[in-house]
Amino acid sequence: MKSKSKGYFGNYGGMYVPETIIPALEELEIAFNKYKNNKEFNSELNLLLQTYAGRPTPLYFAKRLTEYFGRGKIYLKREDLCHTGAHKINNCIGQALLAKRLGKKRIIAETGAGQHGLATATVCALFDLKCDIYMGKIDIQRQELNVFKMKLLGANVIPVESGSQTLKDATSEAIRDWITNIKHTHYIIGSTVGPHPYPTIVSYFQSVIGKEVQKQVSKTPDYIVACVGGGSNSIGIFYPYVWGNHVRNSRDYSLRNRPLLIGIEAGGTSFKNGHHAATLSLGKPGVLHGSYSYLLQDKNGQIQEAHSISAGLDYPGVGPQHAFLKDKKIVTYKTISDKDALWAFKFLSKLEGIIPALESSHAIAYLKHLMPKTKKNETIIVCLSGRGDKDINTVRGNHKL
Amino acid sequence: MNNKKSLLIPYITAGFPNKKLFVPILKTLSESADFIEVGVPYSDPLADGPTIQEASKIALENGVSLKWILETCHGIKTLHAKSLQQEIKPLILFSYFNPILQYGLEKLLRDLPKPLFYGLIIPDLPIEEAKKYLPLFKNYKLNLILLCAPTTNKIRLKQISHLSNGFIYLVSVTGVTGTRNNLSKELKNKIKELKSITKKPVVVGFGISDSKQASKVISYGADGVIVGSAIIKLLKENKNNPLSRLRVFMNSFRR
Repeated sequence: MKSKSKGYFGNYGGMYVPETIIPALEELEIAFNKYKNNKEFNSELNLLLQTYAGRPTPLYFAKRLTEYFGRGKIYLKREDLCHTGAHKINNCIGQALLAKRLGKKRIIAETGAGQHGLATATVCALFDLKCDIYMGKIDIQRQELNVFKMKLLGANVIPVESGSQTLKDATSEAIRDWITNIKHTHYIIGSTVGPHPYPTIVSYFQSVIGKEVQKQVSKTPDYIVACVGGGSNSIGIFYPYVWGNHVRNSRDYSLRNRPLLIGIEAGGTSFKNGHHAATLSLGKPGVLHGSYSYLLQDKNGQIQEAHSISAGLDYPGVGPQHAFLKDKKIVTYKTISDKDALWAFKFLSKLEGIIPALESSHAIAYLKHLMPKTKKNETIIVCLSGRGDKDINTVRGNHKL
Repeated sequence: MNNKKSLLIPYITAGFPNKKLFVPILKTLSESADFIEVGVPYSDPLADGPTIQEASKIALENGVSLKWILETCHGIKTLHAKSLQQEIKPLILFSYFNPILQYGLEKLLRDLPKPLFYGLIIPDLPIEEAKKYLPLFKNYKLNLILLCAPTTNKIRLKQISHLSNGFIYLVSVTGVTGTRNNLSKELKNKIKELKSITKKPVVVGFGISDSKQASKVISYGADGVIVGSAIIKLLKENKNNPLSRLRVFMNSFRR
């Protein structure tokens, strides 16, 4: 990957944060570079991924879904089967192992849907670390079940009442906490956002998704579809097809033998300001939470509120790698509305007996648009990033079964 | 703060508590201050505690933008003639990077009235990102004042003090802005360390709320203090006579 300077993906990324936390970011970068190729670290990580998180997750051939559309073969990468119900655990185990080696005794995290908070609370229980989770007040209401689970696991859930009371403000509060308690606290960012080295670290720990897919398929898939909020499950599954060895060696981003990679953003209720979370599709570049990437903002550079029915996609920013991949046209970004995501939630449940998270439902919903264009001999992989139990209340309030 | 040479730098959020008071507040502060930090309100002020966050939110609701601040400051220069311009001490624009980026950094540096503006403080622009912009600041004769923190090690202290223009802003606490009852024990050593590295003036900010703390910081060897949240609190709590209370508060630092 070409980068201008440290922590950049093309023009995007960087470390736009107060000086106070720069030394901690440097320390984290050094630790990450040291341990990512360390045998003992990797065997501990891999053992936990296998025996605790339940990896590798299956690549499931969705027969009824395939028959419904009558075109290409659809496979689901079952991240919903991970321990704690989503891909978030992959990153949390990796970062907790780093935190342990850095000698940090306390973990903080932000959460939207609660899946990252839950995964963080889980690894903190596992490693006996003190855990404080920042969560917007609105998200606490719509993700009641996850809040209860986090508390059960021994985490302290701190309600954030500033701003939009969702993921953006939870992230800001977590950063303020980190600035204050930097010496003994590690901040586990849940997505490929934030200052360098976070996007690199999170995408590395999530790349296990795509690396498994590579082993699970007999030929390179023709399409890979994943939802994009901050962008961690999508970067994870795209990773080997974007930054894998064969790509790096070829020096050619428009590689012939690459699947068509499609990222699905939350289209919300409309494309009006405040009605969606389609950051890459409708935003413009700027700085939020430590990195330069696409943002939803007004002409004065004030961050605008995002909206999505799914709390995990309800964020006005996106990871810098996605901004780079969009500009280079390596990944295509599309949007799916709240309404279509709800349809997909119900549709997949009835057709395949799998209740998807509302986030992942956005990727499923895109099949409606994609499948008519596919051929019978083509394969389509959808990253089913999480399961939908947590969304039952939201869906119940929005839909008659 | 008996020493008259010590720099007294108050911070205000522009347009807080309302737009009308902005220029009167600048005038009042100018009676005792050496510089005035003018805060650009931002939706996501990461380095700020609850007091300045709230002021920022109110200022945004009042319709304050970087453009409004610039227009108003140009007004100081043109409308009120020379006499008022002299009444206002040099200003330092305090802004998070995104409002500056969207306005355009070079355009901003060109548009800021000079010499009314002395420089800028951008709290989320560490040296890694600031380096490439330094020549621009030089071209427009504005100082980019860089920040050091209690967590900054000696190598970085050297780099920052070398690159910082005008003076060096030492953050007194590991934390966000806001008044605090006690100064940290490490602060004294950090000031000494920094003074042994650089001849540039060192001003200390974050958490300095009264003249007693200011005197202490000066006795540690600092060249000045920045007072922010305490002023915002005062403005919030004294809606009826903010200017006279502000004057009394500022004078307490000069006694």
